Amino acid sequence: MADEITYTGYGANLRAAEIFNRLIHEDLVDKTSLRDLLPKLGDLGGSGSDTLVTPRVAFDDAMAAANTDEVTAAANTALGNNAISLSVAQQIIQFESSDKFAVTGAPGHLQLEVLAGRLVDAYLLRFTDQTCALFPSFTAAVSDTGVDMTTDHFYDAIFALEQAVVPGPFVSVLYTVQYTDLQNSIRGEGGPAQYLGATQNQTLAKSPGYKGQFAGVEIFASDSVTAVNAGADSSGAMFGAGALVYAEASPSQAMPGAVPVPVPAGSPVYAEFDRTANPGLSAVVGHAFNAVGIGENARGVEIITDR
Amino acid sequence: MGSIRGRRTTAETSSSALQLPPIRNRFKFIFKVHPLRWTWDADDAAEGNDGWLPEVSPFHITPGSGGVGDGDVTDLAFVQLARDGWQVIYPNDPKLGEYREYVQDFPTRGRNKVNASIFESVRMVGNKAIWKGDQEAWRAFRRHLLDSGIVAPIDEAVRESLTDDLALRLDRMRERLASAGGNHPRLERDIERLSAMLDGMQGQATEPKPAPKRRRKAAPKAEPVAEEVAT
Repeated sequence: MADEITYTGYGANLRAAEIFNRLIHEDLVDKTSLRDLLPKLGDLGGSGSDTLVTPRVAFDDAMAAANTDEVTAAANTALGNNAISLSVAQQIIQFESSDKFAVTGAPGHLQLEVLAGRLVDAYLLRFTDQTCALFPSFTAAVSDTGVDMTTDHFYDAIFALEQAVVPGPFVSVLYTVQYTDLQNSIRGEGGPAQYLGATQNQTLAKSPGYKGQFAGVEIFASDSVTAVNAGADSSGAMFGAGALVYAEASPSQAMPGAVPVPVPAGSPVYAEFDRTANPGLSAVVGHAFNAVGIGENARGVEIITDR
Repeated sequence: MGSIRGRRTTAETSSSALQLPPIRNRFKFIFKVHPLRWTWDADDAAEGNDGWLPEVSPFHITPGSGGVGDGDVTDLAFVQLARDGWQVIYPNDPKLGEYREYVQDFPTRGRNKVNASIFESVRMVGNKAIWKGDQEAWRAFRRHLLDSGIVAPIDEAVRESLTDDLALRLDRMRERLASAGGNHPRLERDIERLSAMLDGMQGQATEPKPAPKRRRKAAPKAEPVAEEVAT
């Protein structure tokens, strides 16, 4: 027998060397989003300023006994006050491709339209980075440098918040290693303490990065948590509502001359296509204006353990 | 004909010279300290010091976070830090001596530079960036902040409060160990470690008290001696 049509013999001319799959595999990316956890203090779009000042008042003055002589007036009570200032800054991302790349692309291939759809994700990643960058600025801390995180550290953080009369519910954002160290410690816990893992129903209602609940505290794990102590430790945190806040500035209309890209409703991101005829480049650009800050320092505690 | 000379390609000059992969959260930063945040360091105490070192943490300078504005403007941010009691350690403070300009940045393949303190180094092993911190230099830096007068020593009340906090934490851990029963080597190890730390903290926390003045023991008052009555 001879002249069988085989892949080895004929494939070089009669078959393609390789087929480009139209499925795109997404590499691992930590998409933890903390935006839903923080109260939004306002939107500065069309406000006339880039800075939002939110007054803070401490109504912690109790009545005192009146003067016993019945005729001397009581003095005024000074009202504790302060302000939270948030100045929005511009965040931006751009993807650009050449005409040759675009023209030769087939449906399903990575094109600018696909990238445009990811601009909101890019904003949320940035938001998480901005938020985690604030953890080292909490003045209260549970600190145990070079030591793996345990339930003791976790409870210390809860106690610190409770002693500071911070109302719950509490949220904890930990570095991925802190989280696994905590999990390992929880394995040895006895008694009523139980870890409630993220089930499907829970995660539907939570942001990406949600891991579960322990001792009534919602836990998120993120690789955006920064390093401290010369890289030896991670700077996680636990906080109550109002510890961290944010403001945004959403555009009320498309920028002049821009070709807007649709983004989900309620997103401060605005996106547009940009075209450079010579040499033939197309870009998609996403913009957002935001500010994340500490709303009230006493409502949060930094958790420093081994990285 | 003249010859064209090539330049030997080195690790530093090659187009594939070492560049870090993009890392998002290694922002520019400035160090800060807070009068309430201290750690007790056994190695520092072993060198004849009191062992109390300021906890130095970064303030990340990235627009839109913590009051940092466009172009890394930090005016508002520093006002807010001061309001919360933080003291900024400016990198150009002459008193820092050899630690001046303590921030270093690394080239990356991404849009942003990767920043780290001078106490950290990074190596590429395979395609992974492995960071290493020089903990001895880090401790020496924190000691220098005190010795140079940049940071005031720990307040006595803060020292007592932190010592009490650790004692309470140890009590909780001991109670937990007692009630848990069984074998808990990790918890036992932590208790042992923190007990040693507490001993060190307490040893330093109490100033050597002057020896109490010896009072001459007062001679017992003469009891009225009952006269033996001969019966």
